[in-house]
Amino acid sequence: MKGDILKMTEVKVKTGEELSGLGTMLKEIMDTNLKDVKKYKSVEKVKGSVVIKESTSGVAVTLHLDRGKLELENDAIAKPTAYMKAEFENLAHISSGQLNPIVGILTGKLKSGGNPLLLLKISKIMVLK
Amino acid sequence: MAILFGSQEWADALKKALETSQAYKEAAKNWEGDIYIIVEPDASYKHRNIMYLDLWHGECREARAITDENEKSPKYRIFGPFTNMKQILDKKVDSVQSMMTGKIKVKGDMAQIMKMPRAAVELVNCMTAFETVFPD
Repeated sequence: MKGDILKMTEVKVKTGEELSGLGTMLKEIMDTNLKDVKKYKSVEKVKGSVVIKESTSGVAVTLHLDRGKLELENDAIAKPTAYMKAEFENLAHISSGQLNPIVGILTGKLKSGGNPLLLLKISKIMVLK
Repeated sequence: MAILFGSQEWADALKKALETSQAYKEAAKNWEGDIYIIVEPDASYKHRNIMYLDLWHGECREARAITDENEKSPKYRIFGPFTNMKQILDKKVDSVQSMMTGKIKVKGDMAQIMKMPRAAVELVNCMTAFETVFPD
């Protein structure tokens, strides 16, 4: 358990960037979740990138995962491993656990693409519950 | 009649707008927590204005213009530079867009905000429910 605590991390911000509002909110949620060893372990060995986009404003951020190191940068990169897109309220409902991401996809509230396994793994650190 | 931004009259007008907005009442029916709305100085505005709102289950129990930021320790803060706040109050930009881009920032218990995102949006919408005039 002591070792697990030492592994805990927080999401870094790409050097020189000030995160958008979307990025700041997501960072706060993910940092909270990363304190939970179980949730941290769900992304510990993951490598890839996920674009998260708020569809009304068009604001996007990219989350880079590299075996336990997480970094957020503003805007969408060209070829992410996966992406998800939703309106602010639906993103918030997913983050608060009020909307299951799978249900979100099935009902069209959440649009996604790319590697579904990666999306499933990062959903563990995007949901506050 | 336009109300001077940053004045107690402005705080009173916002309280009234919150009390009469069904959209806010519905969105914030489970909201618990007070808030500072902070307008920060920038190139076109030299003052720092702080509004204190005590929000509880869709009601606004108190709205007050504050001069000393240390007077209260609110659970939430909405803040941003004057120019960005003015754009929202003038209805030139959407409140969600402003939050997503970071033109205005929200700090506080993110879990509650994520549970009731519409409450934050409707609060900002109530700020545009009456005409505001800005000091020179």
